[in-house]
Order: sequence, then C-alpha cells, then structure tokens
Amino acid sequence: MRPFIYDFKRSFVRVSTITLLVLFVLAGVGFGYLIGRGVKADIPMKYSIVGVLVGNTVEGIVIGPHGNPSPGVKVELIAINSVINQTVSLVEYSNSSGYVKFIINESFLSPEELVLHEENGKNATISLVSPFKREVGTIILLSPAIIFNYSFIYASPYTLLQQQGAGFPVCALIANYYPNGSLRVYLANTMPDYFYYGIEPLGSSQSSALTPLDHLGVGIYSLILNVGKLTPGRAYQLVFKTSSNQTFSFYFTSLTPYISEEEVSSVIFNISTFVTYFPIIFLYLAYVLIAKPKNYGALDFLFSMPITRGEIFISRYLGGILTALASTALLFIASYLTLSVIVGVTINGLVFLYLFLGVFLSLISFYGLMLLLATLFNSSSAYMAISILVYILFTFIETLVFAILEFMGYDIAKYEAYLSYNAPMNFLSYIAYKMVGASPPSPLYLNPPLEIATAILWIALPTALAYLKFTEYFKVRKLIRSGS
Amino acid sequence: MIRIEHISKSYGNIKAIDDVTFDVHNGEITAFVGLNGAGKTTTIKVSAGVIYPDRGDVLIDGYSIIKDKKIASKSVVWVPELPSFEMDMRAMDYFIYIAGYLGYPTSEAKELARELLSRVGLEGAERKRLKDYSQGMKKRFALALSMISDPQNFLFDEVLNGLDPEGIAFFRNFALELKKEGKAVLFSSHILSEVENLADRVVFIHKGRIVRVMRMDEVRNFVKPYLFLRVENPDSSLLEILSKYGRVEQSGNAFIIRDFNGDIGEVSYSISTRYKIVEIRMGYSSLEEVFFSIIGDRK
Ligand SMILES: Nc1ncnc2c1ncn2[C@@H]1O[C@H](COP(=O)(O)OP(=O)(O)OP(=O)(O)O)[C@@H](O)[C@H]1O
Ligand SMILES: [Mg+2]
Repeated sequence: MRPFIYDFKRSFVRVSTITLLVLFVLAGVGFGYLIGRGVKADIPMKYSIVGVLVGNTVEGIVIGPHGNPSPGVKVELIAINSVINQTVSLVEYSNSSGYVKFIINESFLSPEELVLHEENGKNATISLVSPFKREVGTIILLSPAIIFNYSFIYASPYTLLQQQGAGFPVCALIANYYPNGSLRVYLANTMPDYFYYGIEPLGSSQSSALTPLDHLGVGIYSLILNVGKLTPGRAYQLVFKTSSNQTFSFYFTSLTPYISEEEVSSVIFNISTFVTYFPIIFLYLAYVLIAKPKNYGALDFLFSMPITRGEIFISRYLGGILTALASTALLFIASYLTLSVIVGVTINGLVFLYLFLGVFLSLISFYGLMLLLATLFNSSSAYMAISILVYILFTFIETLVFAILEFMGYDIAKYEAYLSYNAPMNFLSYIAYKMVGASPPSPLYLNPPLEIATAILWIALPTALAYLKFTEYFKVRKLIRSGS
Repeated sequence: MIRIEHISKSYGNIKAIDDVTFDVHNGEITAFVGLNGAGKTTTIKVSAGVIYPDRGDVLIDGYSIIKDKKIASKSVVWVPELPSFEMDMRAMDYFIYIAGYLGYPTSEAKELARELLSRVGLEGAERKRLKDYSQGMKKRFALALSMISDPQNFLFDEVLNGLDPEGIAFFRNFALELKKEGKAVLFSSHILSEVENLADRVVFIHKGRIVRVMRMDEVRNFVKPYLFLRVENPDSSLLEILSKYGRVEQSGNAFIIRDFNGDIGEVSYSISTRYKIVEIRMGYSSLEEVFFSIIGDRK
C-alpha cells in the first residue's frame, strides 16, 4: 500500500474524524432538506386536479407535488344557486387512489370554484378555468401559478413546465418526465375514441410519428408515454390524435432541474457558514500527523529509515488532502442526494462543483497553514495553542476588523471587499453566486486575476514553507556545499 | 563500516558534540562509552540520519548519510534509547506502513513482518498496539523494522538499559551474532562493565569530545590491584611507610594504596607493632574507575 494512502486511511478512519464527518453528512442532508423546503414553499398550492364534468357529475384525480395521485385531500366545490343567488359548498376527500367525485344538484348548475385543501390545513382557492357552463367538458386545475402565467411547476425529479388551458373535450396534465424517456401524463377524456400520441419540439417543421395508444372512454387516465430523450429547457408539444382525426396539443417545457437563485444563495450561504467549522478537522490532522509524532520523537524513527524527509512530508500532506477531498465530497454528495432523491430538486451540477472546489481548496490552504505551524513549533501543545489562535483569527478576523474600523469611524463598505482575500473560498463561491445570477451577500473585490493569485498563494506558500522547514532544506544544502 | 567524520552539533549554546571522529569496523563490536550527557545519543542520531550535524559527515559503507541519505540509511539500523513510534497504531500496521515506503506491497510486507518480528522474539504481539508494548518490546520492534532492508551496520543506543535479563541476553547474543556475520556494531553505554565482555574496542566520549579509543584488552590492563587498610591510630609516619608500596589516598583512618606492588602479609606484619589494624584487604580497581581515570586524563 502506498504510504500516503495509509496516512489518509489513518487520518480519515479515526473516531474523531468519522464523528465529525457523520455530522457533516447530517449537515448535508439538513441543507438539502432546507433548500427543498424553500422550493416547496415556492409552490404554496402543491395539489392539482384533473377531471371531467359529465352531466351533473364532476370526477377528478387529485395529484400531489410529486406527480402522484394524492389521497385524503379535501376538495371543496363551491357553486352558486342561481335561483336564490346563494353559494353552497360541497366537500369531498380524495380516496386512496386520489379519486374524488361530486354530484351537483340540478339547481346548482353553475359551479364557480373548486378549493383544494392541503393536508397541513392551508388551503388555496383556485378559480375555475373550466367550462362548467357547458354540459360536458374536462376540468384541469393547476397550482395558482397557472392562473397568472399558465405555467405549471412541479418539483419532481424532472420538472415540467406546462402551458395549458382547459375546457377541451380532451385535456392532459403532464406530470413527470423520467430519465428513461417516459412521460407521465394524466389525461381527462370526454370523447370516446381510439387515441394516438406523438411528441415534437415546438417550432420544428416535421411532425413526429404517432404511436397508437388505445381506445379511451370517458374518464381520467394515468398514462406513461414513451417519448424518448427530451432536451432540458426546450419547449415541446404533446399531441393526441383520435381516429376521427381530432388533434389536441399540449405544450410544455422540459425544465432543467429547477431551483431558484435565492435557494442556491441560501445553500452557498449555509455551506459557507458551516464550512467555518470544517477546518477544525485539519487543525487536528496536522496535530496527529506532524505535531504530535514530532513532539514524541515518533518522526525520528521514520527519519532513520531509508526514506527522505520530503517523502514523509508529502505522504502526510497527501493523506490530509485525501481526507479533505473525502470529507468535502461527503458533505456535497449528501446535500446533493438529499436534494435530488428526497426532496426531488436538482441543483445545477456546475454550481455544486464550484462550491465544492471552493470548500476543498480553502481546506487545503488551511491544512497547509496548520502544517507550517506544526513544523515550526517543537512542542505539540504550543502548536495546539497557536493553531487555535490562528483559526479563530482567520474565522473572525473580518468581523473583528470591521468592528474596529467602524469604531474608528471609517466607512467600512469601502474596505469590505479587500478582506475577501483572506480565503480562496470567497473567490469560488463568488463564481457560484454569479453562475446562478444571484448576488453574493457581501461585496467582493472584483479582480479575478488577483483573486486567483491570492488563492494559489494561500495554498502554495504555507505548504512550501512547511516543506522547507520540515526537510531542513537550507541546512542540508549548506552541509552538502561545505562537504564537497 | 561506519565512518564518523568530524561531526559537531550544538543545541543553542550547548555544544552536544564537538568534532567527533571515529570508525566502527566490520566484524567488530565497538563500545561507545561516556557519562550521561556526554554526547553518545547525539552522535548516534547524526549517524542514523535522524538529525543533521552542524558540520561533518557520516559515511555508511562509503555513502554519506546527508548526501545519499536513502542509500546510506538502507544499510544502517538505529535502535534508540527510548524508541517512539506512532503509538496508537498496531505493530503490524506500522510495519506495513514503513514497508510501504520501501516499496513493499501489503501482502509481502505482512509476510516479512511475521518473519522479522518472530526473529526478534515478538511473535504473537503483531496485533498489539504499540503503546501497549514494553520498553524491551519497542526496542525489538525498532530492530525488526530496521532489518527490512537487510542492513550491514548497527547503532545500539543504551540498548540494555531497562531490559530484563532475557532482553539483555537477547541483545548481547544478537550483537555477537552480527559480529560473527562480519557486520559493524556500535554499542553505546554509560557503564563500561556492561560492555566489557561484549566489545572489541571502546570509544570514550566525554563532554562531547572523543577522549580515547582503546582495544578492550588494553582497557583491562588498566585494571590494577589496590590495598585497603583501616587502622585505629593513624599518623604521618604510617603514610610514609605505606607510600613505599604505591600511591596512597587517605580519608580519615582509611587508606587506599593504589597500584599496590607489595604483599598483604608483609604490610600487615610491618605495621602491626605500632598501629592497631581494624581492616585490611586486597582489591582490584573496577572498570568504572578505569573509565574515570581515562576521561580524567583528558580533562
Ligand atoms: N534536543 C536537545 N535540545 C537541547 N539539548 C540537547 C538535546 N539533545 C541533547 N542535548 C544536550 O546535548 C548534550 C549531549 O546529549 P546526549 O543525549 O547526546 O548525551 P548522551 O551521551 O546520550 O547521554 P545519556 O547517557 O544521558 O543518554 C547534553 O548536554 C544534552 O543536554
Ligand atoms: Mg543518550
């Protein structure tokens, strides 16, 4: 086994490190969940209904936030009795398959509103966009967003944005798109016939080949249609055709996994805050790998082996780097998985990559700094004291300097940006913020080459100095020179 | 063969060793004797490549421990006075870790570990954590680790210190075996008698300087007889009589006649008329006295 792998193994597989990492994974899950909640809060009305009106019967299926039929949802139908000019409300709960049915009394033939009550007690009234005045027709009720912009957002693994009207004899609610190329569609039909379907990008001249579906009677159908690969961000139309040559088209946009800027900002902010405490691991690692064995003379024995000091240093450095990589990766993978699997939202991978790099690089630079301290001090308790001091200084220096400047009556906004050089992290999180079009919480001094230069310097300089000190580079040079 | 060439090393203002030069020959056990703080450990650490000297160099089979560290280190073993490893590791894991640096894959390292650990009498203790090893076990473990590269030169720093009789016997026999195999062994101690029956040569170090290098039989020649005498009523003429037989040291009513060249019967007879003898006996100066006289020579 390569020694650095061993150094990694024994720095990573440690009760203290593992405990912290478990905390980090939990934090990752927490972030994912937080963001997810934010996303859900964006869609206050998470339930939709697809249905048909035939005679005096309204039938529908309530569809939940993930595109599944949702049982136990309170559905209220508000109708106006045109004779006495009074409203009356009918209440039903969707059954175990999400199905709900109302029989409308003859005298209340003008239903106006359908209200969906969320399970948590909040309710939202949806004005009907339905042909209730007609005898026969389909109903489609979507989230409030639809009322304003006729778009439909589902926080499902692959979000679809649908432009939709209702009142046609055939109406489709496009719920989910799955990576295997299938599209889940709820179809409300009041026109018994043989159906065919096809999908085509909006604006393309050739119409796609139609696939035969089945004979569909009056009712609501949950269909899984094979539509092949869809390009995210593109608008498509789903076309249904009957054997009597009637065509119904439904437009939707296959969204890139959708998440708003604010949410990404909140992830970045939360991660940056959390990462403040991350370096403690590396403070500890430099202690375990250098300061402590040095103090107890354990490195002496290594020095007596046919190994150079440089090799020992590099092995221990790489061991720490791998730990940084593994722990950062764990944090991000946990947040990512929580978001995509549990919450059902996918964040732009590139944004995550930049955030990841930012955290990783800042950890490396901190590790280098700690290694330098560990090589400079002969006693491990001196190392501990100084490194904790340095950590505190670096973590809270911004606040401290600002407080002092402010106290002295300076215009702190003018200097704020310069302080962003205190960690390479800032630069990368800046990129992440910009990528999602959000503005960073504090102004950053905008000089990319300088930012990159400081980042490199932060990483390379302490490590290089630590290397020179550890290997007693100049002393050896001098000895070799005087010897020859 | 270890050639120590003009090495000096200071710790701050303390000159730990000053221009130390001597050789450790193949097929010989060289004792390295000096008082506490004389500079033995410093010399050995420099020779093992553990610390750098301020000046000078050490050649291991012709390779400089500074310039050709890796090659030189391959053929020199260091068994420290107080071995210290990364103590929370298990012996086997630490062995594999070190062997990894020398290019051994894990499976081979394991095999080698079993072989070498049993050779130093540590079989059965491979899975123990190093912090649970006794001093003697740690020394054996250090020896096993260093033998991964089949070295020709050995530096034993106060290796018998703190060992039980079995441990002492192990390291003595081990050293003798190495000598038979034609290897070079340096054996440091602050007690000359400890290495008396082991070493072929003795290098004396005092206050950081080499004061003398002698063959062991030469050292033994220094061992001289003395006469111890205690009388009730000493006076100045007694001193006169006694000084005919050698160098006289007096402390109260006790006398030591160094380099005694007379006969115990003759002395007791000649003084018994005037002085009341309480105690009279012959003795031989100890190696330690020889040692003190040698380092005293050069003070
Ligand atoms: N790391 C150190 N820092 C400061 N002084 C040191 C250090 N190591 C050794 N010394 C000093 O250098 C001198 C030589 O020490 P060294 O350990 O070489 O002696 P020694 O002959 O091995 O003694 P002992 O028999 O006690 O082991 C002593 O005066 C000691 O105090
Ligand atoms: Mg010593």
